[in-house]
Amino acid sequence: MAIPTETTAWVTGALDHDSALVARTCAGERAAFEQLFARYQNRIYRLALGLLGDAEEAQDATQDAFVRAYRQLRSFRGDSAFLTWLYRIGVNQCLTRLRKRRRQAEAMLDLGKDLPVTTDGVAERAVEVQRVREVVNQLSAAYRVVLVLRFWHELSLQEIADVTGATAPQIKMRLHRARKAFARRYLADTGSRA
Amino acid sequence: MNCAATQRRLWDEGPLPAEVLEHVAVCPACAARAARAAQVFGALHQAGPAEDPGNMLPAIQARLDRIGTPPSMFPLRALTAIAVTVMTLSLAWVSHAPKAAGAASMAAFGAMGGIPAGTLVASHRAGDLTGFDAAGPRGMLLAGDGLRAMAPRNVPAPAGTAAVATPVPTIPGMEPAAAVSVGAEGDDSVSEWETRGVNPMTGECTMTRVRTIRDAQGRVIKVEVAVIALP
Repeated sequence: MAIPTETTAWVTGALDHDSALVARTCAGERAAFEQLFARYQNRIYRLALGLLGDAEEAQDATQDAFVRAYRQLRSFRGDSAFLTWLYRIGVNQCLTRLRKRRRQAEAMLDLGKDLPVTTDGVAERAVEVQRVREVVNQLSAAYRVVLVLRFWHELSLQEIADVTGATAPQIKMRLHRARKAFARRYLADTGSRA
Repeated sequence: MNCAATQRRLWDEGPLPAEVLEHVAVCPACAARAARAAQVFGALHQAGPAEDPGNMLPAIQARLDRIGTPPSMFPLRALTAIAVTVMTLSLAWVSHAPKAAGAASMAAFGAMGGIPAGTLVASHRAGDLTGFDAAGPRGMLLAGDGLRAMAPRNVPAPAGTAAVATPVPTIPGMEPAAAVSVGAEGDDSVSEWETRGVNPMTGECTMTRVRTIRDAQGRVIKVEVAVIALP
């Protein structure tokens, strides 16, 4: 019989804990949901920031995702991990905002939206990070989702499939294409700046 | 492994396989590409946002206050179940209603004046051309099971559409006005009919050609429909 590693035990414990918090929230204990929020708000915020590229909008999307999760909490049956379910809601919130943004951009012909600026004092590093994020933000929403979930949230192919509703082979192919698309744009951008 | 195969594998997920590494070790050009790819994905990997959103708890608490406890999903589930049941029953009725119902419905449709000549109505599902309907100069010609024409969805058939539907119910009054015999004299087992019109949704000018084949008893056994683009 395999002895669970410390990590496995910790993860299993966290999942059990999530389920317990969900149950307590459904029983009317608001503080339980606030614990879930405190535990996962940074992840969902970073997901939204990666997909939307705008800090304020990412905050709004994060709040909307948690409010939606709260409203639909009773529909969470525990088929997947709570975090996977939450990621799914977060991704959908961001995709909705991206679609809305595209419609507005088309209407206003405003294609030059400012991207977030991250300056931590190390100018070159910040510029590089900024450049990578700009390139990611130029990709299609489908490519952006798989790249963000894979590279920045380190989800497995199966987890990304669970979040997006696709199959693992589909995600593998989409990720392959997304990596190529990113590299092509990134290298072109590097060449044009050199 | 050659350079082309190596380049393809550079974009794959996960660590590079041994055969790729062996080639990279002996090919300076691929080594440079591999280094470049590693640099690109390294940069991507490190550019993930690490910022914190700040304290959003008060904002979320205020919004949750307005909701109260998580709402029960019962009404939504019940409404969804009812909607699915109604849709299923509707589809079942449309697909399997008796011919008499179809005939009666078509009679009512005729009383409404029918579809204007030249209008194309295709009520087939994607990938399933059974049930193609084309409106002719004197009303509507039915192909396929025909019953779907009771609820035409006004989806014009694109040029290039071709349908072969068999068998079809014989519905009185549905013989096209401009039918011409293409068989030997006195042989009406095959009739061909066509109409031209402008697709109201796409502006595309098309010709619908319908070929009806009957058995010795005069029953329609096969109808071929093709929508052809006109210059």
